[in-house]
Formats: sequence, structure tokens, C-alpha cells
Amino acid sequence: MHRHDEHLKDAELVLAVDGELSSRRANEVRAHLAECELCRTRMDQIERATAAVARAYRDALDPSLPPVESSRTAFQSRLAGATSDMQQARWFRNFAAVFQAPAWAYVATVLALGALWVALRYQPIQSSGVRQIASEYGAGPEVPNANLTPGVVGAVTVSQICASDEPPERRPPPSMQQAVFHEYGMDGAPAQEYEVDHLITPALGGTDDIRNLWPESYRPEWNAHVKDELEDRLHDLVCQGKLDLGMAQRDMATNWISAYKKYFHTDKPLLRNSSLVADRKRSPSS
Amino acid sequence: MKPQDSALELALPGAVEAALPRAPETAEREVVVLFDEFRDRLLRYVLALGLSFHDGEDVIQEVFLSLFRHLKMGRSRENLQGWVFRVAHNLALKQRNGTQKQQTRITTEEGATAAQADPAANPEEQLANTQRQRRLQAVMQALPEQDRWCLYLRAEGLRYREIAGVVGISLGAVSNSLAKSMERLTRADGR
Repeated sequence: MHRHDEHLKDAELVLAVDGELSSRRANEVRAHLAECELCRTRMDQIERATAAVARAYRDALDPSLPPVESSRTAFQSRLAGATSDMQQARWFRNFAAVFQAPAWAYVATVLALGALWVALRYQPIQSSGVRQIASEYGAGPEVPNANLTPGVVGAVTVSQICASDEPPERRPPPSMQQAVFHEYGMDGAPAQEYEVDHLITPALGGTDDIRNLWPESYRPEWNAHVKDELEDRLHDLVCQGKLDLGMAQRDMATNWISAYKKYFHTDKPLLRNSSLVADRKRSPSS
Repeated sequence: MKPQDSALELALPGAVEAALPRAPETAEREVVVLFDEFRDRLLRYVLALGLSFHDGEDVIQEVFLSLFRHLKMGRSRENLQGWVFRVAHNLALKQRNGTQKQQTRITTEEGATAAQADPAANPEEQLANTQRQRRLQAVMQALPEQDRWCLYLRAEGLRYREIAGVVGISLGAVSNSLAKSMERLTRADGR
């Protein structure tokens, strides 16, 4: 097959470097290289070119690689989400296993189901493709009830969020708005004084899930219009690559007023918002 | 019994598992360590494939979430390097083909302007190096895309057998591709 006096082909030299030749052929190649200066030179050229390519490739891209820390942080938060997804999936598998378990296991399972019910009702949880975020909100007219509205985001990427110049519809459907009023025990409240608002705006991946909606008053100093300003600002920062999407979602869900102070470097809503409020108070129709 | 099997056994589904304390989350810690180890190399590779930074970072996150599920299910740990590069390669191509909007393609050509000069080299050496790199980059850009992938992956330190797995071609096809590229590159690199 291979004649001893034949020069080695590049493809074979390449494989020889990685030790991918059969031991018999590898011996032949070694023997040939020992004798043939032409093939040794060729081998050397290939190795030099490979190293030069690697250097050119790294030199071109390395200066533009962002540091690993912020992407690791973002990854860890997504990992935490994935973990609770898997825990829930496992729970459903366990449910099937219950039917072959001894009696004491039934008791434990019933207890576990009770605990799970409580957890589902009051704790931020994961469901398929949708993530709830822990909230620190207490009671008050400017902020949602953390148990009812912990904030929910969909599985979206930055590029999806930033793909369109048109902001997504801010208002949830009317039936959902009524459900939110009902959930908050505010069935008779004057609707024009409230915006049924997303805690995490759709422009940052928030969903129309009822756990992401609450009746936000137009009246207090920290009102729905002020929050809209923050939403626009965070969307811009995320799309400019200056802010991690997960961080923006968490800041929004954890305490939007603190987030406003942080991102606008102010302790009070900015003037333009206050004037907007005054306008709205005169004509609270929208 | 391999070490991961014992961790897996603790996590096996059981009827009372929800009522028991959970096993230590070794897979979470492990995947974060692997993230630190591979992130720069993978990101560099998907940028070289033409992804934007945002898309590149997104793809890398997806790769490691998949890796987490892979580890959590106790699947093979043989050659995780080849595994993460294969998943990144496939996701990057999918992302790139699915993205309709104009992309800022990071070619090595454009990147060359940002390349750092070697501080150890004297001005003439620097100039020679830069010229040499320009020549190489011009040749690389003219290669068929699959041949470029093989070069990039080799530059990331993958073995030819791993490259075959990532690109989805035979070992022989990898060595032929590399040989073809080498012929052009060594000509440009000056004998």
C-alpha cells in the first residue's frame, strides 16, 4: 500500500502528530521521517503554520472577550432556575412511584404534598419555561404583595428582547386585569386610578402570568409612570450590553423603587415624572 | 463504582424523597467549575463562527445548562471538552442561521486591528509578525467555512478526533481538510 520511498502526505503527517495512525504505519512514518529531510521540513512547516494560525486567531479575538465574572453570575442565576425546574419534574415522577410504595410512604407523601401545596401557593416556584423571582416587597400602595406578585419571566434571550424596536404591549388583557383586582380584594376599586402593571415588564422578559401583575396606583409619588421610566431605562441598558438581563429582572422584582434610585442615581422620582403625574391627575382617563 | 454513581444514587427518585433532606448539589458546583474552565475558549470559538457578543453569551449559557442536565442525569463524562464544543458549535450555527437581523460578524480580519502587539518583539519583528498575521488571516478567510472550523478548533487545542466529532465529519475528512488548509497557509507563511 505505502511504498517506503514515497513521500508522506500532509493528511498523514497531521494524523501522526496526534498519534492517530496504526502502530505499524506510525513506525513506518517515523522511519521515513528519520531518512527524509524533505518530509521533516514539511512536518516542521505544518507545525509552524498551525501555531501561527492559533496565534492569529487568539490575537484577533482575545482583546474583545469580556471578563468571565459577569457571565458566570448570570449563568449561576439561570442554573438556580434550572435546578428547581428539575426538582419539580422529579416530583411528578415520584407521584407515579407512590402507587407502588408501602403505607408509611403514603403518609409521608401526603405530608409532602401538603408542603408542596403551601410552597406552590406562597413561594416563588418554577414551572415549565417560566421563572418566578423572589421579592422583598412589603405592603404599601407603591409596591405589590410579594406573595401574590413575586414576578414571573419567560424563557427569553437578550436578542429576542432587543430584536424589535416596538415595545411590547404594556397592558395585560382586560379579563386578566379584573382577575388581578379580584386577587387583591379590590373588586370595587376605581379602575382609572390604577394601572394593572407587570412587575417585570414584558420588555425585560416578564409575562402576563397573574403572579407578575398587580394593581399599581397612579397616586403616590412612586407611581406607575415613574416605574415606566425605569422600565425603559433598564431595557436600554440591557440592549446596550451594559446590564445583565437576569440582574435587571431581579432588581425589578426585588424592589423597583430601590432599582430606580440605583439606576437614576437619585432618591426622588425625577422631575419629568412628577410633571407627568400632575398631568395624569388632571386627566386620569388612560 | 465510579464516584459520580454514588451521588446519583442519593438523587434517585423515591416516594419519600420530597420529605428527606436533599443530597449535596455536586452537579451545580461541578458545572460552575467547568464554566470557568471552558467559557473563554467556547466564547472565542462561537464569536469566530460569526455570532454577536449577546448571542455568543446566550449560546454559552445554553451549553452549560445542557451540560448541567447531562451531568445530573449521570450521562457519560468521557471527553467533556469535545461535548461542550460540539453543543456550542451546533447551537451557534442554529442561532446564526435563525437570526435574520444584520449581524456584526467578528471576522479575524476585523479583529486584527484590535490585536495586541507583542511587547517583547522589536519594531521590525512586530511589523513582520503583523504582516505575517495579515497574510495568514487573508488565507484563512478565503478557505471554505468547514475548513476554517477545523483550524479554529485546532487552535482551541482540540485533537483531530474531537474536531471530527464537533464538526460531524470523519477523522479522515478532518486530516484532509487540515492538509488542504496547510498547503495554502504554508505557502502564505513563507517557506
